[in-house]
Amino acid sequence: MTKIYLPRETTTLSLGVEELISAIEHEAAARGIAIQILRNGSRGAAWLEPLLEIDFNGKRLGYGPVTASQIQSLFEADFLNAGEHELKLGEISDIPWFKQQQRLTFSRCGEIESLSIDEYKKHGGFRGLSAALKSSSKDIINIILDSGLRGRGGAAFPAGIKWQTVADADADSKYIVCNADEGDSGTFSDRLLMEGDSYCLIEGMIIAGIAVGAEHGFIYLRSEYPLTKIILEEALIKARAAGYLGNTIQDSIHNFDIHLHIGAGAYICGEETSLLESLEGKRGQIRFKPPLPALKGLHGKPTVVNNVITLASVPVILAKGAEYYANFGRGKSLGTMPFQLSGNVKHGGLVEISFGLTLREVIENFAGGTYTGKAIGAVQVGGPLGAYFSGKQLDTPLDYESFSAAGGMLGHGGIVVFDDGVDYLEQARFAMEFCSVESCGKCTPCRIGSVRGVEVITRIRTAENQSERSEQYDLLEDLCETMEDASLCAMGGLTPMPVRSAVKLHQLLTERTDETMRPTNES
Amino acid sequence: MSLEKDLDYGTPESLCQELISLEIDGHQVVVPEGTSIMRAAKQLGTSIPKLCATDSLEAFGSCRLCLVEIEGRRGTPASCTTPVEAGMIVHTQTQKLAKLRKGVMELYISDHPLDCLTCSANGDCELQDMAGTVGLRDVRYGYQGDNHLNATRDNSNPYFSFDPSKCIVCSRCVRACDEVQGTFALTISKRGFESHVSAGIEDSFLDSECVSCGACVQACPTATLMEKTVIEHGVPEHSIETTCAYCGVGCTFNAEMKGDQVVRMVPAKSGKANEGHACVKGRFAWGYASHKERILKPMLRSSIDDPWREVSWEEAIQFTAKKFRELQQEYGRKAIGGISSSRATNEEVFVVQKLVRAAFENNNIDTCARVCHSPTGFGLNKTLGTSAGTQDFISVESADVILLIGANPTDAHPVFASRMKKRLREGAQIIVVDPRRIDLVESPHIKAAAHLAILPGTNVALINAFAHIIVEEDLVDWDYVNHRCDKDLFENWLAFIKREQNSPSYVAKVLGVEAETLRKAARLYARAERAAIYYGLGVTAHS
Amino acid sequence: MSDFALNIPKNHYEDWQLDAAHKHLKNFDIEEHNLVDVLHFFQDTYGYIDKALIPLLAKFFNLSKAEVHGVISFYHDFRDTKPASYILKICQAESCQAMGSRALTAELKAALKIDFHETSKLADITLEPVYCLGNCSCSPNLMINTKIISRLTSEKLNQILTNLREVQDD
Repeated sequence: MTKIYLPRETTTLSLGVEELISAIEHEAAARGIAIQILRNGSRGAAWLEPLLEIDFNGKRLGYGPVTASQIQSLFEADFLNAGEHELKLGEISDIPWFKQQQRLTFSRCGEIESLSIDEYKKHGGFRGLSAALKSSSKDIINIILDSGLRGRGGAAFPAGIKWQTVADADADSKYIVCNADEGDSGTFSDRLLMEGDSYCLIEGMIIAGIAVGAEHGFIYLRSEYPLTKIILEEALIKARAAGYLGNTIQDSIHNFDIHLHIGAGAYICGEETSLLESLEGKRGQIRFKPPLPALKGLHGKPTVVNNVITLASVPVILAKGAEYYANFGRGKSLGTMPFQLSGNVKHGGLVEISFGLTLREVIENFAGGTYTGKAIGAVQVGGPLGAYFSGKQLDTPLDYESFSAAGGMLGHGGIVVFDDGVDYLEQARFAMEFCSVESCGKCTPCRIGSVRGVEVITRIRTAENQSERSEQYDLLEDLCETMEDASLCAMGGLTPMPVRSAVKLHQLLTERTDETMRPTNES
Repeated sequence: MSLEKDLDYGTPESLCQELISLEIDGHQVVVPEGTSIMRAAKQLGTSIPKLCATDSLEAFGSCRLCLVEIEGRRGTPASCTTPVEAGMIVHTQTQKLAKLRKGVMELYISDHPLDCLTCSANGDCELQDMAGTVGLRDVRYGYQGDNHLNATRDNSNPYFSFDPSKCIVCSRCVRACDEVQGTFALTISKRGFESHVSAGIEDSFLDSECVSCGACVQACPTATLMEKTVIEHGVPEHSIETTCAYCGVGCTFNAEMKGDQVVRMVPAKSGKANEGHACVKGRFAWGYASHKERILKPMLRSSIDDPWREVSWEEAIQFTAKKFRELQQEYGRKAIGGISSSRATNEEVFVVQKLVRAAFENNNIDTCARVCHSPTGFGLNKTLGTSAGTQDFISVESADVILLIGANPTDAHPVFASRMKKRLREGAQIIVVDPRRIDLVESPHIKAAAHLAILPGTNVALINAFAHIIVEEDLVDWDYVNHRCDKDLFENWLAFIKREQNSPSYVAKVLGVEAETLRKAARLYARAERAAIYYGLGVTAHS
Repeated sequence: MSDFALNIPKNHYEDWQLDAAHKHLKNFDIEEHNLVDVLHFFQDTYGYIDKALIPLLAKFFNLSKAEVHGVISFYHDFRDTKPASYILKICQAESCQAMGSRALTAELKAALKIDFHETSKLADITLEPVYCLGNCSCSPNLMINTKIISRLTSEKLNQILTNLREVQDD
């Protein structure tokens, strides 16, 4: 009986995988063929989804992207026995898109049946936990420190130092909070991991709990991920039943359980202090720092707040050692990073690679150009608070320091591509609008500044003459300065990044246009 | 006396014993650990611009005017939320800060009416002050943008008005209602630019849970929340310190006046009982001060059938003194005496007893509290040697377990109730002994550890049952007993209290409270590090 | 859209009833669930948060009514009126913008003759904006109740609206 893998994952679902499964089952029944359909996660190659895989003599062969109307022809081509078909992709591991990656955190994602603990273990799962159970708190934290792992949510703060702070704090209870409020447009790595390899996150959280002495973990998941919620709920039940959560996990002295909470439509709750407020059932308003959440976090107790990918990178580090992980990447950006390609790209999806390739290399090697086939007009890296780069500014290496030096940030690894039809000024206006929609409203620069920002950029557009326009440009720059330096959190503080970068591109473009339009004396 | 405004240090005092030394604008200052940079600066006489900070409330960090620069640190942290550290070198005035502050003020004023000259807060508005302080000269955003200038005013409260068009969303009113008053009647509704103050569920102030204590009005830095009397009369020009006579708490107020017209009553931070807080009665119910029926001059009449006749103070005093002396000459020295009122201040009561003892030459002085408080006065005198309570108001801040019996502070002594609630929100527990389900049994952020709803008139049985449990379960503080109690008398009492009639199972029926509930409450009380008893007329007015 | 059966179940909500809400509330454990969790449950049950629920929640969580209102109004997920059987959320964020979501949004508003946060009189549809559904590699995205439709085009949009109207007419 051939095993067929089809993802149970948001993208694949949006592309009609459930209809596809009905068609396969229907066709197989009609032909009297016994099949077994297993549900994996997505490997992140969204452009190949729905990616149908078969287990053929121990090898994983792929067909995709498959639509229900092609099922009949697939059966006719005997795809169950690796038959030739226009959709046949060959062995998955040979596909260049996957071959060029260094998948450490996502090594299992898409490979295994996503909710099977047995499969998870067979593919290296819980080895990190076994190592952690044999180690002292100090040893675990040292491994994380040595691995160079930094927060993958955006702020890139060294995870080991955060853990150390919580471990050293004196308190009757401590917490692990997983930030799964993945709100940046152009990012979906957290979702892919939670849907495809949720035990990896669970394992990472347990290890964090052991390291800092916490017995309760919380996953704060955004409400825009309904399928992820269902999958996580199932995973938590199974992990509990298998003795990985609850009291005396795996017959150790450690207790640890995970509670899932769902957000309610607030981008700001991805900011750690706002998230903690929300997790306490309150308005998601920013708390000032200090005190740091590591010392006074959830319910005032020392709390580790880490992003999904940060926590999910922990098991492989514990299993294979700090050195193994730190050998990937460069400079202070060690390990791998799941970059997410989206927007106007031919081949969108997630690629996990070492830090260091340039933005251009990633776009050329993986994205395959724009979806519309036009030239690249702009690339926004790092989410809605990240900078815009023009098609000519793509040679910055993808690591934290280089991007910071280039006036941008890697953030959560989102890379959104626009073709040359992009209206830079409109993107700048939107950055301000997004800030006004999602501002918690606590501090003045963000609450009022974002609204004024939209108005000023609109006036730049409608200005009747150059002096009027340059007045508004000056005002916008002053506003950006106020927002950047005076805002309470990164929402208001970073909004100037996309605004300034997009406005600059707009100015370059209009100056050029003005020049070409200027009449010359010679004509 | 000129108008005395309490100094505002921006953030609350730190009670920490450790001292920290730092440098602010080139001056050394030593402050307790936990002090904010803002407060430390104020101690040096340096006022850092601020709008959302005030020293009656915890730091909030929202207005972003109080930014400072700290050597060796990135960025421009808010001085209200940044605690001092040893050796810190802080700059409160730099070119960069000046530009940022002006930038923030420009944003504020772009959504604020330009009616300063006709505004009721003109001359008493922190927003206006800050615009001046930062030197705002121009609002380049114009006034055509999105704004809240058409927000509707709420005049429902009889004492103050709420004009959201002038609101800067600093949350001071919300925080005052939560932190100081403890009613939680206000919230910020929605978010971002749509954020606004809401009483209850977008109710009018009068229809909300608001109790009109006025803490929000006092906290408001603009004309958004404003006393109607100030709107009517204008800003006061001098103030007189006085004491509220409504209840026994004795709140200190500054009566802010215009000539002899009271414009508003502002609770004084220096008042030990109220520390800057007030209730609706003290703050707003002072209409009597200038009521037309108020008697302002002494009057005499020779018999009850005669009409009253206005006289001078000199004549009134002469007349009374003469009559007193005549009575003493006729009937003896002890024939006269004085009774003071519980409404009088301690100072006034002192003077009355001095009059009786020194001028009347006898001890015939009493107070009306005799009527209400004689049982407890007697008991306290017998056991502790004084007939007064042993705690001051501030000690509630140290209580771990509070036994409240026969009192309803929220209604009767609201300002003290706010202080008690604050302590309860900090984690202290309360046992309420009262037949009624009073506010302190359950209200926002308050949940009594036990409510012993005893039947009326059974207080003594309950107290004895408490003592019985404490003795039986050996929760007695023997150290205290051995040091402070008369051994024989205590033994007598022990023998009495151990009797079956005082056992919880025996009195449960009498009280209407289950024995186990009594036991739990007694244990909670007895095991507390610092337990405190607060009682009221519910116990004392019973014989 | 041949491969794309649009069999999306309608949202069905219980009619708001105070006694029933009271009973539902008793099933929650204050140690396990916070106010936002409970609000989600009631919105899933009734389609919106009835104002009459606020005093119940306030008492249950030992909060004031104002505080509960403050929380509800902070989060864009929570509605104060009952929505249509179909809630359409169209993504407004950058990745979808790069693939033409602005034009599609305008088309959708024009076709339904409504703006965001409104319910169409032409169809049983409430329209909402959303900022990222995490399906950016297949932009533009639209969510109907809990189902995401990706790689949205004008044609797809028209077909969706036709289908939804047909369901309504059934």
